[in-house]
Amino acid sequence: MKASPGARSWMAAGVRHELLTRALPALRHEMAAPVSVMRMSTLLLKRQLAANTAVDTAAWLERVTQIEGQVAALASGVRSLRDWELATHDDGITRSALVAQCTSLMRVAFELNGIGLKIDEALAPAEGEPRFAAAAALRYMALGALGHLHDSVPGLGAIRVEAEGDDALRFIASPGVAAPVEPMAGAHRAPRALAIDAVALQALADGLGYGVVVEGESVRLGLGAAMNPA
Amino acid sequence: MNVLIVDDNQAAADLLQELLVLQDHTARCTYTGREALDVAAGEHFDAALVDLTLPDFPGTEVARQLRAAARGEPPLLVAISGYSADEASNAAGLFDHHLQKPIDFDVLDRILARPLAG
Repeated sequence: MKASPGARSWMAAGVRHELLTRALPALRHEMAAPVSVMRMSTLLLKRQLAANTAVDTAAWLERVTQIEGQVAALASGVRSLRDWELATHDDGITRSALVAQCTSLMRVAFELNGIGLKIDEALAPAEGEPRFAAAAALRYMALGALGHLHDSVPGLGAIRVEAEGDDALRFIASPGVAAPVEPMAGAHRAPRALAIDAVALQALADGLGYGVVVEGESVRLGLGAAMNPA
Repeated sequence: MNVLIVDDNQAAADLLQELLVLQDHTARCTYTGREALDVAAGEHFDAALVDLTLPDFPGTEVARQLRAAARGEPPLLVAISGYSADEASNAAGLFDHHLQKPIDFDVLDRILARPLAG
């Protein structure tokens, strides 16, 4: 039985949920950092008070200023969660920023599993770079390409992200030097049985209206909307 | 205890150092894996608090090398991370403890007090 358009939309939504689940540890890590500094700062003030040390007004003012800075960083992190809402209007994103953000989100998760992420020099930020519409959708697509190679290539050692033409990216898997690792082992996701296979990646692309091509151990992602979303 | 702190978040590392000193420990801050290993080569530490996500190489590698290079008793190795112990499952076995950020200092105090009490 062929999947109905509604079923395909649900499949795409499920893949987006899975990808967001994988990105969550990094997003949480980014927000935990300012909370950690705030917590230590207040604890330090409390312990200094309890120790009856002389109050150094200048030092305390510096500490409070530091806490204010961390509150601002946390607020920015909370606001950035809207980047993941497809319905939110956004200003688009440059190709280099897209690659930098998505590889940054997954870098630790991949490195903890011995997989490197490499970015082609041609993807360094540049003046006057064009912006591609619908940044939220593109984030899911780029994470989908990374997730697909992570889940489907045995003995994966690294993924290289390259520019292709003016409006596409290519994600290329290469083998590791260590003993092959089960592709799904240690992955940051729950439930762990949900691999981003080629069908899942295609469903995501169809749902968001982008062109994606899986060619062996590489994925080509067109950044311009290829069609109307399914 | 003499504690080595390894964290690229300098504000966090410096605060941690101040807190440990208030608890009558001595502590040394380092902000990269390389710096930590260089410092540890010339000084004995009873414990090392190691962030798993460092700019130059993984905290797991720092732990592995600290343990391998130890002359005598290896330092108590404590992983500190925004990631949970489950998410950083490859660190299991390398570290004696795993603390998730933001750190619960009551737990850290207990961890660092235990060897002295024993």
